Amino acid sequence: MIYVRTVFLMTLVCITVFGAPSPIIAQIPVSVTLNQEPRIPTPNSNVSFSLISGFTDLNRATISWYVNGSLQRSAVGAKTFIAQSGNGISPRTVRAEIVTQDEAVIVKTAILQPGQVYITWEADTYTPPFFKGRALPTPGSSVRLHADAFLYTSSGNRIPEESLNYKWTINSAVSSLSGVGASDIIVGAPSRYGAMNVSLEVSPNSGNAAGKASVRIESQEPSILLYAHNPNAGAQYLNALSASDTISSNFNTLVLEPFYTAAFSPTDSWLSYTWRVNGVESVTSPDAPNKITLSPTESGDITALVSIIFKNAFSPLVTGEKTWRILIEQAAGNSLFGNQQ
Amino acid sequence: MDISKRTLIIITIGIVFLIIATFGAWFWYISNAENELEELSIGRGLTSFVGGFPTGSTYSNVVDGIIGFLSPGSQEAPSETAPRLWKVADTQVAGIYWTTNDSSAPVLHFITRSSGNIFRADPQTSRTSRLSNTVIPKISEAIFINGDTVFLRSSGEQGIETSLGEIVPPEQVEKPLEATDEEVLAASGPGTLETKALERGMLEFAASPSSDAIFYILPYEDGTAGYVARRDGTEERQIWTSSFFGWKASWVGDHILLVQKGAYRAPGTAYDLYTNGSTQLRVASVEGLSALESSDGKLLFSTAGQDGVGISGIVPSENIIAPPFATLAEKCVWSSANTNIVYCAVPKTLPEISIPDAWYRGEYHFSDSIWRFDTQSGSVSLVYDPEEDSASLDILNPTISLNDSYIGFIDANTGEPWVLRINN
Repeated sequence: MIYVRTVFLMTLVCITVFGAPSPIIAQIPVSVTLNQEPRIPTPNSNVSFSLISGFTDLNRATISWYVNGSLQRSAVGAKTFIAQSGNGISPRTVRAEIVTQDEAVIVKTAILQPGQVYITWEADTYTPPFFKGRALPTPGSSVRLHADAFLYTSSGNRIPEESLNYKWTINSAVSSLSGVGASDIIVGAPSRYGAMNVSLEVSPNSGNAAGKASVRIESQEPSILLYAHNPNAGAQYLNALSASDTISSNFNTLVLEPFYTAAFSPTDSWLSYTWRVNGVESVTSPDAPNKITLSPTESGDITALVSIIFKNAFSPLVTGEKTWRILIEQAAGNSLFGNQQ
Repeated sequence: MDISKRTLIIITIGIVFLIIATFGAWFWYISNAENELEELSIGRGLTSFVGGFPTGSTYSNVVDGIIGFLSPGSQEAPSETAPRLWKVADTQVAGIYWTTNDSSAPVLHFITRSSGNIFRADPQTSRTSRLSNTVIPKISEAIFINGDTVFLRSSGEQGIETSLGEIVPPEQVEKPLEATDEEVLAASGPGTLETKALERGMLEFAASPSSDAIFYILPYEDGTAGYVARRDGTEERQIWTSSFFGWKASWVGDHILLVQKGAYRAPGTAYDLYTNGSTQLRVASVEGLSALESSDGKLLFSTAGQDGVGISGIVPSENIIAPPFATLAEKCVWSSANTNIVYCAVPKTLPEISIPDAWYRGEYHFSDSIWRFDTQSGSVSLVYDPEEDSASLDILNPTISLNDSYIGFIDANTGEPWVLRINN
């Protein structure tokens, strides 16, 4: 028994000391890193690749670059390479084959499948009905952001947007509104005279596709504009009244439109209008506080100095005060009329 | 019996007096009857509705105003070809539309903002005829789908109102073989515009000119939704949703072009939306986007941003050259005869202010000349400079007649309709 135990122990020692051959020859340190810039390329753009190693002398290695299996470049020390990203529908494989001085072969691979991502926006601010322009952001308002993302699987099928990850960054801070399917978010508008930088990275849960986009949104001041108004023709939105202007007595009602103010309607309760005509405060209808009718009490052409102080109770810093000098030309056949509100 | 001469004279005088008195009484009676009719018309109150739009006690002022606006060359004037640049009417219009008369010649239909009356203007005779005399004030927007059918849109106390309007002609007199449309109209008088109210609150609206379909956008949940329906508003079906409210819609062929409302330096997107709900992105991230699609699917689009204002391109772009104009795409119109040709109103100068926003707000007006561009050959030619006729025009909503004979448009300075002859 002692003999058997001794033999067993001796064998164990031999195995331990003189055991399997040391993998010194196979275990050559080959820490080679393939860098890609930009990390998330846009479609049909240049992407730069570079190889870095702390152990292998890449300057003496033969490096060959392939795109989708097709040799593009091969030279000693060719550590950098530029490839086209492609349209994103079909992925592109970029492969670097490194043959060291010791004839070790190292392969590094990257897959390019750029996604197309577009960001658009509009603000939740007031514009008159039928206005053809976009609602712009003003202090105190909110901004709606929307992303269209075109990312594809390796087989060329478009990935449903609702399954993509949306990482929104607002002024360098990742938004808590980010997440899967978060293609639409609402954020606060920039402060007065400010701007916000919005960037977005979109990626699927798996796969190599990725896309990014960015946009800069600047805050505006509300545009307080005055238009002549007629009961039959309505407001004359084609011509905002200038600081000194002329209207016909047929259009003696003036309507103030507070473009881009944080409101649904110019009659919202948090908006206030203080009208003065020739220095005298004028009363308007509570149903239409943004309208005033000029009622000349003399015949002939009349000049009225109309001023308005406009306030938004939710945005105290955003107030408007303007004055217009309005010449009211008597239309042919019109007679004097009384105060009409 | 022997009647004396004196007696005869007295009898004769008496008979003559009686005749004069009779005619005088008859004249007085007729005059009074006309006055009563006029008072009845003036006295119509706001409680009478025609298809959802109030008609009111504005009859006298409105009718007088309309009669007054007809430019020289109206139906009372002798027939003569309109000048090359023809101001059709001295009144603001809500919409214009090219159609043809019974001789297949182009005529322009338009609807006035203040009255909702519809007129026909014939540039070959300079005549303007009233097609409907139903009073519907404050029309903000009118979309014709043919010469007799128009959608009316206005802003009321309860939001945006939209109605389908169809001209019902009067009982027509028997038309002599030699009579023209205008002569028949003059003999028959204008028809009425019968309207049917559609759903309230349509933020945007488009109508198919070739099928019985309309598209409109309504508020929905926290955003909006797009619907298709029959022209009369029945068979409504939701086909699209968006988190945005600001869209412009126009019907092109079998789909709707949706363009995000533009703003200076703001990225915008345009899609084709099909009635089955599928979408195709046409352009994206275009600053100050304005777009115009041809009948064969070419999208002309423009930019307004840091690099200025101008036509950016046409998609699809294979073998297509974009016109090198510093203008907005909505100031252009594709040819009706050749879809490779586009006509554009090009501002002579561009301001150092936010365009298109200031233009949309009515704070600024352009002075345009009209150019023709061939997107295949790249050739460009000046069609017309209004300075030739000492005019300055800011062209809005250009529309082209059959065979590119005329361009009709609204002058944004005044809201009045004009016609320019571009080909003989």
